Amino acid sequence: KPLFGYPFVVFSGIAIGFMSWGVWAHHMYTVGLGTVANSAFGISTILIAVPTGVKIFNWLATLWGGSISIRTPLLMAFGFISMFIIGGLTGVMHSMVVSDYQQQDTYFIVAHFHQVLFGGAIFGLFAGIYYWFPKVTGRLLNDKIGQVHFWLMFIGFNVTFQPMMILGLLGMPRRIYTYPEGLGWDVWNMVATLGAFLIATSVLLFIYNVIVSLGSKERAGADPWDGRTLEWSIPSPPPAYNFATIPTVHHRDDFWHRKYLEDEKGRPLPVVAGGAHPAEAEETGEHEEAHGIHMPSPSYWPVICAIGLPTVAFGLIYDFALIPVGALVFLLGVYGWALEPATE
Amino acid sequence: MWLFLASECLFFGSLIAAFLLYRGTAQDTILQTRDQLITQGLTLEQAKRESGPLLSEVLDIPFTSISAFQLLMSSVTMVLALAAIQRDDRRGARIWLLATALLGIAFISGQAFEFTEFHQHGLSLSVNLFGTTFFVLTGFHGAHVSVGVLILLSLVVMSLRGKLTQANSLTVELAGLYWHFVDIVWIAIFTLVYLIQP
Repeated sequence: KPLFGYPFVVFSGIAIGFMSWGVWAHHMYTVGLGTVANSAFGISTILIAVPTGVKIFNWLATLWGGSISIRTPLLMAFGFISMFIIGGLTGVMHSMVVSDYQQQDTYFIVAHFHQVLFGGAIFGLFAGIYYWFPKVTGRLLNDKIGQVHFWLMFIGFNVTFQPMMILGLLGMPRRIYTYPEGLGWDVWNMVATLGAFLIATSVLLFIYNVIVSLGSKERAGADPWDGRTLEWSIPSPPPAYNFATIPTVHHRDDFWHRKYLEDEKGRPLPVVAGGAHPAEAEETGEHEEAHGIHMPSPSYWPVICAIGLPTVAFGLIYDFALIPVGALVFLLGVYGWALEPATE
Repeated sequence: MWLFLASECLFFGSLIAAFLLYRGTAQDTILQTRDQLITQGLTLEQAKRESGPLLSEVLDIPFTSISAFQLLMSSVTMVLALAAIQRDDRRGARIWLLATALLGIAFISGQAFEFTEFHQHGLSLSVNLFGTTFFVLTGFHGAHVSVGVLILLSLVVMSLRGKLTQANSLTVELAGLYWHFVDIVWIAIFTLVYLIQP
């Protein structure tokens, strides 16, 4: 299915970005700003949860009623949504000023932001890697290993960070390197450590997956996932210029509409291999030979520039004599690069 | 180039703003420091060394006006260079480009002389806030002019090799845009730092 409620998701994203400029003092409830400031930032922080919720419901609605094949990218996406929800809800708990007075600087906060960062960013990252790996490298990542990776990481993640919620409420502060026995924190810290090793194992498994998949002889082809978007219309890996001609689009997810027409109930009907719009069939043809697209020639000179600039920066900090040296090397790199004859 | 110049506007804008915002406080702090040091027993000379000079004690408007004039004239010669290459007058373009570069070098030399004078009077990057905001602003501007001079000299060399023609006069136009921008920034700096003193 296409993304449900596309305009809502986009506007929510913009709203979150904009509102996020006005929440910073929610990290400072306990420094003594006073009730007015605390309340104001508490309100703005709570309000950010609204567009976030809109996005989450739209993602769920995208899944609802669609035909789902459980493969690693989707598992990672499920991991993302579920962990992000938990992280977000604990975030709302922090946004309440009085509740934050207990939670501030404890492991409860650590648990919260790892929930959003790991759950949000890392699962999202891995979902993206598993999804676009075939486009970038021309080979699919092994899905069975991927699923094991996901489950190990998911379990490991929860075993690591859920105990921190408990620890935080038991009073364990942040930013300590040790603590005395007998405070009731020992067991859960040990559990969290075990979970961390689980996560490490899962990532090692992922690295193994990458290595094994890169060596695989099986090619992924342009469109292994039956995708909706235009990147799947070009070969994997893509040529340096990406698109031979800029595609003319008639729909938001134009590639899908080139592959499928819709029947009366809106269900997709595969189209004969000419494309839904016959005029576009020529556009998606292989134009590798005579594209007339000028790509810049490869060059080693940028590396020279890259050596010069840090020398200048280093010189500014430690020894002014390095500045002209670095600047000269940089200039050498610039002129060498500019005057180098084109190879293509 | 226009996008780049827009980003440069933001850059110089913030440096100029920093100088202007701190101008009053910086000058006041210098005077306060001197008073404090004198009450602590230093002589006036020592106190002045310690606090660094005031704006009014170092800025030399007549001298800087000559530098400003040189830079303004360099913009005229730049326009003449562009006009020359656009009518395929390659020799003329070369001459005017060289003239622009030489005027730019003259400007830089004037700035260098000025700054060493200031340094003799005790104004450095770290002695007081006036020194910091002044030198960062004018230093970056001088660096931009120097890069511009390099670009212009590169164009002169290109022209000597016969690579600068009417067909690629866009190159000269882009260099001209950069050069005029650097000149406009100088007009802003000269007006706000030197001419309009509180």
